[in-house]
Amino acid sequence: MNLKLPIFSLFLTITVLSHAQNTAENILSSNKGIVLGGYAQIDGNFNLDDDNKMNSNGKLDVHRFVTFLGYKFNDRITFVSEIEYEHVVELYVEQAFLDYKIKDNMSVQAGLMLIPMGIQNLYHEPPTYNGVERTNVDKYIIPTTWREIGVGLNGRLDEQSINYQFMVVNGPLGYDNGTANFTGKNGIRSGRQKGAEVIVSDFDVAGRVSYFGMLGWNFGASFYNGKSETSEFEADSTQVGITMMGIDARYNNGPFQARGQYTLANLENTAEYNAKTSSDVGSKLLGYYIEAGYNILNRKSDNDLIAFARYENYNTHEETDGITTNLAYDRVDRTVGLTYKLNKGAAFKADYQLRSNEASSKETKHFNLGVAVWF
Amino acid sequence: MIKSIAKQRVTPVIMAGVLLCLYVLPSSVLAQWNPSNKTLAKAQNTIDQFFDEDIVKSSINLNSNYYEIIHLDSVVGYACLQQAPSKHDNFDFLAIYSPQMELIKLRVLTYRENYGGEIANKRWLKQFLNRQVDDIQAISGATISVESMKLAVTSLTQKMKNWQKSQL
Repeated sequence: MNLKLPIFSLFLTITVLSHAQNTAENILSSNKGIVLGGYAQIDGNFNLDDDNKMNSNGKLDVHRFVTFLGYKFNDRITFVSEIEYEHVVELYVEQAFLDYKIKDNMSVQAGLMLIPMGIQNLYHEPPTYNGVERTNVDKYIIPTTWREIGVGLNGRLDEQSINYQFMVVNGPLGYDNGTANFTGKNGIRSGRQKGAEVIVSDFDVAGRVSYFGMLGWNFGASFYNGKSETSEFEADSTQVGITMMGIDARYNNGPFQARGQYTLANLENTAEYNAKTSSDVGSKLLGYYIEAGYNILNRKSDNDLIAFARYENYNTHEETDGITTNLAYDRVDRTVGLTYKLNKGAAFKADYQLRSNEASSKETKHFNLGVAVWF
Repeated sequence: MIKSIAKQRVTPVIMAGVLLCLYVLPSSVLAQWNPSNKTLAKAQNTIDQFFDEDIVKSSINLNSNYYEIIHLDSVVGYACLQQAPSKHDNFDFLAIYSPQMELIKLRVLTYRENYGGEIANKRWLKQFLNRQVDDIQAISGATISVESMKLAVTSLTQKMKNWQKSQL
């Protein structure tokens, strides 16, 4: 009888001791471990006729569902990965790289990384931008989500308010056993190798510098230079030289927000490439957009209701070499819409788009609805 | 052995005492974050530069990372080292308060994640000194860290004010 209380106390003490140890351990190790996250966009796309009635069947799509999985080995070493489901059935690895901090504000990264070109390729979590879909400048000129395998340096200069990123990566695959991946309509988009059994004939370089020293502003400048890859060994006519440059700016002031981007790509050797592959890729690709938004709700509330308008022009045949310029590839999208943010990481979106091109006097009308999540 | 201890009537009391200590310890002492040497050095540097006079700093009983800054036997301010989450990591910042618990200096000491480091911008941080938290500008590309900083500073200020009241 006498034993019961002490044993019970001892048992409790051990329990609490182990609890204390765990707590201490957790605290000591609070800077390492598994990090989970993710983002998703679920879209509805509807094509409308002149009277704004549906003129074809609509499409509902779990466009992207991405799970973020990171592991922090210690304060210096982190592994970052994103597994992506596109349209439910396509499985990709969107990012997978090891980040090794050589200084507090500088790290070396190696693996499958995002090419630092423009705004949306890097900041692509759906609640961070307006519009159900990413911009078409970021789809046709910058082939977002553009990611390739390589080694890079990523850092921040706090005093100068500068972020920078440089990397050496494999290029897009322009020619694959007789198939031309670069086209007049899609530019270099279909050449993205996405880290899957990548063919390397040349290494390319990419970089980005952004400046955040002016209150409310964020300016960026990106570049990419190199050669596309080919399945042929040392075959010049199956490769194109790629030089892409872009500038962008984002602005926030109270309820007002704006952003813009200008991206230019010069492709060399396209005459030989098109002749060899019977493709029609342009020698110069140009795209830009400008967007302004206003938060209609009181900023002191947790919700934001942003009304926005965007104008974008993207032309994958800005210039051509040895082929006929197709005016249908000079495209303009005008978009107005609403982003209703329930939270920083959860939003409903709706937008209305008028799309046109230089080859036709007719506009097409589109209505999009979306669910955007980021956690 | 157990039997002999059990015979002593005080055992349960001791056990209870140990229990109590172990329950209280994690929440008060163990639960505190241990800043890295780098963060500590940067904090010390910032405090020295800010006060620019012979000061003595000593931890207050609320948290060993919060200090009372004393110059010539009078309190000239408080300096609080605090950690807050960014999207996938933590960052360390220093907040300096006047003796009246007004925020007079805010600095990010260590920011670890590759995204969101824009919150270390001094101009942006200055807003905390003279604006309502709701009026602080958003930063494109650093949404999560901006919100975290706003929350962390608000809660820290409240904690310090409450602590000051409790000391009266």
